[in-house]
Amino acid sequence: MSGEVLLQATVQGLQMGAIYALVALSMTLIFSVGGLLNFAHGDFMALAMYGALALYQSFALDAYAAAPLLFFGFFLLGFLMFRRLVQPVLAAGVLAGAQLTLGLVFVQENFLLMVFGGDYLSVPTVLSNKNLIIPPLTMPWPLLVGSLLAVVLAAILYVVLMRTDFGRQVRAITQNSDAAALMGIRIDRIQAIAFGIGIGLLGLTGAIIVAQFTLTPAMGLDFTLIALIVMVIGGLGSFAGSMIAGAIIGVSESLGSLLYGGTVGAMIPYAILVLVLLFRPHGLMGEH
Amino acid sequence: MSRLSRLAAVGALALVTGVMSVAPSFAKDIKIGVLMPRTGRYAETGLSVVRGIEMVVKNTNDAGGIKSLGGGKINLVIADNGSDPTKTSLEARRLMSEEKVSFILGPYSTPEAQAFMPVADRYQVGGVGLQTTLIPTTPYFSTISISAEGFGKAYADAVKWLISKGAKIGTVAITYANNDYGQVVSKTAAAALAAQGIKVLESIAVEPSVKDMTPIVLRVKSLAPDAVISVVYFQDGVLLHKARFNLGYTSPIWLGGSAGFSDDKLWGTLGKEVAEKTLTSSFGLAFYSADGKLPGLKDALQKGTAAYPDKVLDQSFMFGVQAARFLVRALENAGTDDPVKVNAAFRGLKFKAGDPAIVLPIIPGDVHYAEDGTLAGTSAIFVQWKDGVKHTVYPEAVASAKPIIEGVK
Repeated sequence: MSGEVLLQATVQGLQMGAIYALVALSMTLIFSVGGLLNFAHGDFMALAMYGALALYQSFALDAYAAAPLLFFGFFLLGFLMFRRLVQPVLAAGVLAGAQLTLGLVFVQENFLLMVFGGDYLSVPTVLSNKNLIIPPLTMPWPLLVGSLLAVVLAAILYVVLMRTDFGRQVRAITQNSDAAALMGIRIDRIQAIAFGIGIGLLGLTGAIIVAQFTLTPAMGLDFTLIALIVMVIGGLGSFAGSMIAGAIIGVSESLGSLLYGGTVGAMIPYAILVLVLLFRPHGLMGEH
Repeated sequence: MSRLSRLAAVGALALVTGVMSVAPSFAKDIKIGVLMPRTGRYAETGLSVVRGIEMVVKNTNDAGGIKSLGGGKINLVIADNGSDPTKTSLEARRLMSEEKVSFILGPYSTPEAQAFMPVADRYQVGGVGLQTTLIPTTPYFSTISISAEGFGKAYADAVKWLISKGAKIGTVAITYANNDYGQVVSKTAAAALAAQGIKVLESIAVEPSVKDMTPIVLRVKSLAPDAVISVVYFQDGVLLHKARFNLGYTSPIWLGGSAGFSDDKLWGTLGKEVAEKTLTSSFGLAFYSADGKLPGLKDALQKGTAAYPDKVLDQSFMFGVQAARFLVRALENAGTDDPVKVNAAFRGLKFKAGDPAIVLPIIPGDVHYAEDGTLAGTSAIFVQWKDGVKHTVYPEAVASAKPIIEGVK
């Protein structure tokens, strides 16, 4: 195996890993404030991808131009959904909340099936089929933009959480929600905003990476699974951990497929998950 | 009215009522189950199959129904298996025990068929799988697809044909979807190629849920084979072609199938730029291509276009048409709605080449059901794409275009 091929596979893996991390970031945000594992996470992203498709078909709006619209649209959706649906159910416990999100999986999948049909669909963008070639590397632009955005978003989230009042409130709720409430923080409001931002990020992510994937109503589950793995390996609630775990999963998956075939490549994320749970149950960057 | 007249009137009324009550029992309607995915992963495929079945049933009923049942009409009971084997089993049981259907058109895929067969065996109600590549394990299940072994041999035969056309193929790499079907196709193809003296450099397993095929294409590229065989579904096929395009690796002769190389929606999904670079020089294994010469296919296309002007008449639609036409013939032969006899009639079907009931180009000549429930006499076709349209190039007996072979003028 030549060094060029190994380098190409490593870079490809890093880019895919950044996409995984991008999907996991919003799951981490939602989990960190409400303790809610959102099993419909990937399905919200699938919904955003179909949203990008609808905007392209109706107004010839490119997915990259539609990304801010989808962010705000999904923020509102997430905010309202938390207020009207998630919050009342969460009062009955985190397990009830998880069951609710499981129900949302089927609702969203069948909604997409009814509206768009079950055919595989694709969304052309200005960057579709374009590559950045830096010999010996070839990098598809949609993947490159998606991975760069993941790094930028992770940095923004870090700054927001560490340097703003909102971030301090989020962290206070994560550490001790009862104490945070006693200090005058409106927990339900912060949770609703954080949930809205989490879902909004999925709107943004869906639009940014839509050119890389083929759309099908049942595609969400795969993304939920990979986000969950990345989040657990990185450490529940850790944004930096999600970024590192995404890179580890992406590169190991890519190199595993290259060196040992696709089956080994697909097995690696789960093997890493088991090892991390065995030897570092709180994740790479998680706190006890 | 006199007493005699009243008696006559009552007698006439009794006679008419009696005749009316007897008449329907002569024209005996028959309940047929349709067990297809209408939701879930294969929903769109299942919906297309059902359209094909409904068209044939409507045409049959409009033309006077099943003659051997006194003009009895076919009543379809359509069930959704959700693209899920467990639900397939439950719905099959419901159709057989509660709906009392005489036969079931379906299920669609191999995992669904595996769940269906024990139920069919228990209730002794027959079914026919459409894209099921397994060999049935019960006399109550038949298939109209080609077996996985048949696919493997078809790839090796196509390679042999390409060599006869001047292609220089001494080494082959195989990538396959890592499930029962893919493994059998890969093993059979590798064995048949080895028997031809062609070296198989490596058989690379790929999970069907793969999100990026770039590492796999890089691995194939590092092997530098003369030809590649890729056993893929639609989505991994799309990823494969995109990775080939992005890496600029389009030089070896590439064969593959089925949906990932020959699905009617593939060109549109990939977009012209990628499709032209990857599909036009590839050979896609297919069950169906609209350029087929069979009279039954032309008839199905004509009727399908009239019935569904806004729908793509794809491979799935034609599978539905084929299954339903087989069943109509079986019902005519059976002359009863007894499930055991209907199933026996289905298994006893024989067709001569050119029979109007034959739709799929994979059935080019005489065909009948073998002991194991597979169709004897099928042969896969290979297509090449040009400007978004599929052209059959192999076997030459049914070809509509000459092949474009990499490195051969």
